[in-house]
Amino acid sequence: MLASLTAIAEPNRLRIIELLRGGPQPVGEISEQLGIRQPQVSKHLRVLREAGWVDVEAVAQQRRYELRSAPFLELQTWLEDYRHLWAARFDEMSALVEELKQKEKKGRERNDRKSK
Amino acid sequence: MTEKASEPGQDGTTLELPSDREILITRSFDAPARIVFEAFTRPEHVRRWWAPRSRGEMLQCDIDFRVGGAWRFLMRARGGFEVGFSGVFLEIEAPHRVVQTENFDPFPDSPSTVTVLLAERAGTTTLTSRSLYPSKEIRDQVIASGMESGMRESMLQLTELVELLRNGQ
Repeated sequence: MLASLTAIAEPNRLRIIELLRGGPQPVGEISEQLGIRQPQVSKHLRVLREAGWVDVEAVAQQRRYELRSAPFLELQTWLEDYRHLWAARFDEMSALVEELKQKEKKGRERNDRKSK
Repeated sequence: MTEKASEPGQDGTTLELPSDREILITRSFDAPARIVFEAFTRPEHVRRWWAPRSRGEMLQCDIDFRVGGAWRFLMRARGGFEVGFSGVFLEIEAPHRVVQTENFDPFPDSPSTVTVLLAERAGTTTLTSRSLYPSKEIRDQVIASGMESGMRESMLQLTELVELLRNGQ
C-alpha cells in the first residue's frame, strides 16, 4: 500500500497510469502522448513496475506496458474501510434516532393525556 | 483511481470522492430532520455513535455548539491507537445545515471544511457530509484513519510518507 501510494504521488507517473487505463502502450507512445522525454518515461515506468502498478508484455518486437489490477483493489479496500467506519457510526446513530423518536412520541402522549 | 465512488452497501451509507480534495458521505434516516440534527450535534448523543462499539471507545467529546464555538472528538481505536479531530463551528442553521472546520490531529495547522446538510422528505432525512481538505495527502490520511487496527502499521508509514511529500522530497 505504502509503495503504491509513493509511486503515484509523482504527477507524471499518475498521468502515465491515467493514460494506461485506455489500454497497454509502448514506451514511445507514452512519451509522445504525454510530451515527456522517453528516458524519463522509462524511469517512471521502472518505478511503477517495482511498485506493482504496471507489467510489461512483449508483443512481436514491442514491449508494451499495461496496468495491473492488484493496487487498484488495494485502494478500493482502503476506501471501503473508511466507508465501513461511517456505516458503523450511522448504524449507531440510527438506533439513537429511533430512541429519540420513541421518547418524543411518549412525551406527546403524556401531554395529550394532561390536556384532556 | 480513488475518485471512483464506492458502492452503497446494505447499510445505505455511501462514500464518494468527488474530487482529489473531497470526501462526500451520505446516509438516510427514518426520522424528521430536527431529531437527526439533535443526534448529530449534541455531545451526549455524539459520544454514543462517533466511536462505534465495534471500532473503539470515545475518550473525549466536547461540543460548544454555537458559531465560533469549538469541538473536539477523540477515540481510542481497538488497536490501541488514538484518532482525534477538532475544529470550530462556522455556520449553524438548525436543523438543516452546519459548516465547521476540522483539524485531524496529525495536521493541526491544515483545517478542512465540512458542510453537513440535512434534507427532510416525507419523514425521511438524508444527511450529506462534504469535507474539503487542504490537499489530497491530508484527505488520504483521513481515509487511512478509518482503517481497521491491523492496518495501524501501514498508517504510521503513511504518516511518514505524507511528511516526506509535505517537505517536497
